[in-house]
Amino acid sequence: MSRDVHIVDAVKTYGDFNAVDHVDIDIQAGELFTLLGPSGCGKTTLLRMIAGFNSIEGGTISFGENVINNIPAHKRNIGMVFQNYAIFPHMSVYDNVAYGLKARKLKKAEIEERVTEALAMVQIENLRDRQPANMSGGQQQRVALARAIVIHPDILLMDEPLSNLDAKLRVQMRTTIKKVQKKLGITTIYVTHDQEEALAISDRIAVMKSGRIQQIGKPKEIYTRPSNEFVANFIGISNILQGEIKENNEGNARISLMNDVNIHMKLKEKEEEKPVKVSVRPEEFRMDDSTKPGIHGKIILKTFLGDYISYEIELTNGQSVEVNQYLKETAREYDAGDTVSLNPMENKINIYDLSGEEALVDEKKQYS
Amino acid sequence: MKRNSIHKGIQLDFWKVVSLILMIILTIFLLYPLITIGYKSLLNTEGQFTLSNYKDFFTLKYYTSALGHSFLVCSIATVFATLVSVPIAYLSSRYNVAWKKALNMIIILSMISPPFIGAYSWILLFGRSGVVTSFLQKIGINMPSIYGFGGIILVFTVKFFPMIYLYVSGALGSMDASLEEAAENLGMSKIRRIMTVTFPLILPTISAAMLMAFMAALADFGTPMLIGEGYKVLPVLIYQQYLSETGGDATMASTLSVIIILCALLVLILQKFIVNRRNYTMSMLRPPAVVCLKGWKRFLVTAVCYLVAFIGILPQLTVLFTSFLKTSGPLFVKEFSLDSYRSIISKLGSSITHTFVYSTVAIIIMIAAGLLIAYLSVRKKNKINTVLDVLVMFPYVIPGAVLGIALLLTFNQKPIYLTGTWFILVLAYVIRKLPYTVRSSSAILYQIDPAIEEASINLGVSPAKTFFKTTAILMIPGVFSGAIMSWITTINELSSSVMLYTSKTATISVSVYTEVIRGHFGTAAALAVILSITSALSVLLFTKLSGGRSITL
Ligand SMILES: Nc1ncnc2c1ncn2[C@@H]1O[C@H](COP(=O)(O)OP(=O)(O)OP(=O)(O)O)[C@@H](O)[C@H]1O
Ligand SMILES: [Mg+2]
Repeated sequence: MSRDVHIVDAVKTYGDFNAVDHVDIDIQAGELFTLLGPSGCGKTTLLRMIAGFNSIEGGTISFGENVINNIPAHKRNIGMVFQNYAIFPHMSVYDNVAYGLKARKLKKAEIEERVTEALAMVQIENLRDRQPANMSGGQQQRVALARAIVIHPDILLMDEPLSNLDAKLRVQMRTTIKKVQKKLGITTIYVTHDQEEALAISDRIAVMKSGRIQQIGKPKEIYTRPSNEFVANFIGISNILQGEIKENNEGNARISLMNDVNIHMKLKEKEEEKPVKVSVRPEEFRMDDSTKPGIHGKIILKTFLGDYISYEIELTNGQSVEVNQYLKETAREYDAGDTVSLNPMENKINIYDLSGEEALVDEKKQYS
Repeated sequence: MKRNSIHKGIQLDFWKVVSLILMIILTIFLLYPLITIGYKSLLNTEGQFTLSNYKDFFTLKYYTSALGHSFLVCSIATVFATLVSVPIAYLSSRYNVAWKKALNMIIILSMISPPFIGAYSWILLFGRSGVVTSFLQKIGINMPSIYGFGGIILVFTVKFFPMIYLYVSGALGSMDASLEEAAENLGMSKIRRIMTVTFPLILPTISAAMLMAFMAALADFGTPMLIGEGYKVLPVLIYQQYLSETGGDATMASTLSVIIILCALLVLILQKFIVNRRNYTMSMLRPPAVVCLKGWKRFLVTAVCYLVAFIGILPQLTVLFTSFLKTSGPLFVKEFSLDSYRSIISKLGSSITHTFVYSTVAIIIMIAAGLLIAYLSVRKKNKINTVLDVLVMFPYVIPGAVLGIALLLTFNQKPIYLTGTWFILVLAYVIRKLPYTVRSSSAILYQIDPAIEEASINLGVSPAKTFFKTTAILMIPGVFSGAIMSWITTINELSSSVMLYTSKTATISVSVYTEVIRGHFGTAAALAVILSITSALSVLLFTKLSGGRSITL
């Protein structure tokens, strides 16, 4: 039975510092929800609060209607996959997977049946009687996953389950995880600090920083509409350029970009004339010959990356920006040493206030 | 729902309850006796509060000289033992010494010899009427006396070098080869390589081993008692003082005890200060290469190693040999017989039973306590458990005789009257030998992933059950590698037993001691052989069962 999870104003304190700082999250039943953030931001801490290994110092966590704050870890019916797998080294693969079922005192025949089914689901039926000591990381990871899902948990938790695998296995395993999760429809909370992994696997993502939630949204929303400068920089790459709101008539604003170019965007009506930060992703620049209007710069480095070319460009003010040019849409290729003119795509870029905390664009009007 | 919450309360507190129970037990049986002995040392014979005992100690030559003697012989012997063992450890771990396993086995066996068998055998060989002495006298050579200062140093050196050897060869064997290769690669000559890389890296181990040897020597009672004669050291003084004070309150014996504990603590703290600041964690990637010598060079290196090992095992060989000799009174006759064995079975059989029964009870308690205490101190770090850990380790620095006196002074009256019971012996064994088990148990616990337990709890098994189903099982090899040492030192234990035994509870080592004192050398030897063989078999059995895992010293 899959459950929805509600985290309300959750707090975890170590000494006088909040590792998890008033966090609110609602997770729907059957969703694959990711906690994403840099090292030390409190992802593991929050996950362990849900699992019952960390006490909850403030707020509540509930599964469906049930507040679980005071339910001991072993009664929460949660499946968990640990970063280093935590396979019981003194038990065979079968016994590892059967462990949770034995604890639930199921009949032998049912245990047998469910273990077999779980092993099949993660494609390791053939390892059934092996000892874990001499198994590869990927195989151990599958055992760990089978062991967690076989108990039919209400919630599945995973803490950086792929971080000990090599790049290729990582991609393979993440597909397996996603398929298993969708097939069982299990509410899953997944922790990672790898943004690419998060974008690939998640239904929704919560970006965290210093114990606080920065933004919650679908992968695409988070990428295209980061709610602040931190998210814009953490997910993908963003060039942050200086700009200034020159006028704002009921939301129709003119922004001067580096005192060179005027761009026209729909901002929130309350925004007044003031300096701002303009956030442009590498693929959100149009590149032209230097004779055309735009911000001008010189190509320092050109890197060929298969389906696109990445340029490092030094602007006239000395700032350097990254610009990508996709081969299939490229009119003209440039070389290192060329001077070029750049224009941001107004329907894609984002504007933040100087502190980087607040997005100024009126999304409904600007991007619809 | 209600039942559920009661259940929860109990499970949440499992480790707290364990920690509390252990704390209470340790307070009663360890802390309280230590406080008692400290308190008694501050009383005069009329029971009034005074510092005069300490004043006497530091002003009367009788006492200060014993303190000086103790430090002198222990330091010199420790240095000698190091000078003997470190080169041998280097040779045996870096060169293709022949029959290396046998060499290590001999050295392990000489380390676990019964107490003061060393002193006793050296007397048999080189004493006033010793075999070698009389032989040399016949051909006109007069041996210098083996009694007193020189004798204690000789016996201590031979007795404690095996311990240092085992520590150091362990460290040398687990050093990453690339470190020395790097030095070689940088153009260092072999000698300078040893001096600048190898030696500094094993220095922490050497100093830890020296500390252990020094502590053991400082606490040793049997050796100086037998071979020291007029040369008095602290443990002997404590023993005699206690026996002469039995009528009174043993205040001076208490004072001496406190002083010896303080000395041991001082040495321990010094060593911690010097060594702990430069402890290297080495990741071993590749074991060091073993140099293959050929011909006479290999023979020479092998011969040197075996000569030293032979001297180490010589006392036990002597005992083994004499146990099969016929005796007439205190003298051995040149004729073989099994009389000594017959007579121990008829007269001293009970001491054999006692040793095994008491030690078995003690080791069971130690394994259980070691498992729990190690877990608490590693996984449930908090103030109480840190105190628990320190308390358990503290007996490391308490000489057996001192612990014996402390227990006697504390439990010779209601509410807890234990004097003369077998329980007080078991108690002393558990307190003194538990550190080995706790240390090895903690060490293995650091290698067990805490997430293993979380995984089990997560799958629905309560924390207490989880411990026994996962971590406890995984800890077994580590627990036993320390427990084997606890076991062997327990069956050989003398210094606290000799304070605590009565005729009804005498153990083998006590009987060896009393038989030697009475001049029944034959039976003493036969009893000692039983101890040696049991120890050797225990080690062999452990090595077999554990697949070559090494003993945690
Ligand atoms: N037991 C603890 N005592 C004190 N501070 C802690 C403890 N556990 C975690 N912290 C602190 O809480 C913060 C959050 O830690 P947490 O492990 O949740 O980070 P994380 O987001 O999982 O990072 P990573 O990606 O490196 O795993 C960190 O600053 C960490 O130092
Ligand atoms: Mg983490």
